Amino acid sequence: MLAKTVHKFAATHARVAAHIRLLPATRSLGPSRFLSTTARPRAEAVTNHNIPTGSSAVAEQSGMMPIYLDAQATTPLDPRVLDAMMPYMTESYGNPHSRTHKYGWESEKAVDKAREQVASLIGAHPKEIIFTSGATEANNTAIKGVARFYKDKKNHIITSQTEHKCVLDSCRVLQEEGFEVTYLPVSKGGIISMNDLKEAIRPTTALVSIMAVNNEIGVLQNIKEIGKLCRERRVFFHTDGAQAAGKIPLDVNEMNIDLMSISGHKLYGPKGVGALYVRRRPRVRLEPIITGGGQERGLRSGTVPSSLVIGMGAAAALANRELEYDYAHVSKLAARLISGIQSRVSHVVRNGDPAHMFPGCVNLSFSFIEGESLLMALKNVALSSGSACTSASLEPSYVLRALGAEDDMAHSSIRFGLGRFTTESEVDYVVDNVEAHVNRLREMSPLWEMFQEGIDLKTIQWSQH
Amino acid sequence: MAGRTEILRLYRSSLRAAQQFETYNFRKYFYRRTRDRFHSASRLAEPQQIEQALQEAQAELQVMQRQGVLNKMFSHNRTALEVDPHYSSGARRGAALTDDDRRVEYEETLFY
Ligand SMILES: Cc1ncc(COP(=O)(O)O)c(C=O)c1O
Repeated sequence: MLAKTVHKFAATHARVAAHIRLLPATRSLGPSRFLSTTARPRAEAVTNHNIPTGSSAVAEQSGMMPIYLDAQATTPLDPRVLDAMMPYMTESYGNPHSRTHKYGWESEKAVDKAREQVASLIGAHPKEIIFTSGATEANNTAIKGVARFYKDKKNHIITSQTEHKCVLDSCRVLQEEGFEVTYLPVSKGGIISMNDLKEAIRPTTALVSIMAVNNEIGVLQNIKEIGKLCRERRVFFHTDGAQAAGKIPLDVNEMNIDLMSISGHKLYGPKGVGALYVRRRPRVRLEPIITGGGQERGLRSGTVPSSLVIGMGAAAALANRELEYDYAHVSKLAARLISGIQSRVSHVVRNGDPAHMFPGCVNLSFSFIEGESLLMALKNVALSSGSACTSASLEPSYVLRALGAEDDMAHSSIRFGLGRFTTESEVDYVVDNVEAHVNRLREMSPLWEMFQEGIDLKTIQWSQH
Repeated sequence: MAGRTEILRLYRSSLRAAQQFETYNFRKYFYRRTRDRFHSASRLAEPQQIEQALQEAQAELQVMQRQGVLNKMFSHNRTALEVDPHYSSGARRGAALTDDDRRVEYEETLFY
């Protein structure tokens, strides 16, 4: 019955929509209104190709999008990046590996420039950059590649408990192949201890893989010290820089980084492209995962996706130029968001050590509230409770667990991701909405009520399920 | 070297090009970026630096003009903020458009 009504409603709507769309067309039959070149406002000259049509029109009719505050999941493609990509998505379609004609040469030249742009973002040499399909592939290539290449002499890998899933999973695969893996714990603030690392390094350690900026809590590890220690102990150091590259200054030589993964779509570039930095001196050797035509120095076969790579290069160059400007903007917004929420909502905790933090990632726990219900209530804001990969599951985040967060705090956390395109008004909007919904949800929460009555929640015996 | 009126014209064109983006976040970003770029350029003393800043601004203007058109062709959504009357600074159409225009004029007076 209900379904039928909805259907009927939808049908009527579609007809109305079709009718409305028809109107200008009918009018345009009049004396050459759309052919005239005089006295026409310029804006009308553009046809929008993206207005929903057909049956999907009804579902999307509201056309309203939530405010985007999920910059760690992905960032919008910067129009300046798209501008650099357009020629290579239209006319210059040559295979960059074609050596016999101008189509190939043009693409190759542009790919070389992109390689330089990515290299210069991290202080590397262009020959040390290998393009991949993303940071996931770069991490897999680096970790599995180094471990397998040196497996005759070394069989041990060190990483941390708060790494991205693709690093942890690469390590798990290696464990199945017989490697030993040490997963370093982190402090309450999310930082690994240098002493733990020192003690974990063995003569058989092939690789240390520690991420720069964490994707869930924004904590920044002490990359320079880790790099120095690894160099002293002659262990290769890989860092997952997906969330750090283009956001904070990075220099592979100053920081003694031997391998670094970067993702295109986290620095306002296109999705489906990334890069792996592989040091040449002292040389780091890898066993490739993908073999074939021998592109990318044999470390990653397959035609280089020139338009994506050129987009990533443009994004890297832009990030390099705009780094300070963006950083200042994001810091200002983060301060506004945190002080706004903390002055208007009680019992909010920021996760991660504020002294070692990329400001664009603000992870807050709202006591006495389920993060999932707050996410649901804040439907006008695009947020996540942690990484995009785990946002579908109701499991509390393993990163927050590793910080030693109690289950309830891990369950009540939300990540606010700020970026280049976030505005002050958006932050104000979010603060207003967070205040309203947190208060409403707490009003309904028995835990909040008990807390208000002064009952210590830790003394309650919860029944086992 | 570019003269005063030339710079002012470039500034005005850039602000207007920024306003051409339909997508709220792009429009606001390019407006802010343009304003900040010209304001910091106005504090430069070295002729060479000024020349470089102007070249950068010129290149950026061309990109904004192309991408503003492209953006118009494909954008179709409004953010929750734009449709909320409490946050009209984010709005685009009607009264707010003239607001934006007024801001362009205001910016120009601030600049010199
Ligand atoms: C820290 C980190 N590493 C790796 C990735 C994966 O990157 P990509 O989507 O480019 O494969 C992400 C993002 O999802 C990330 O945040």
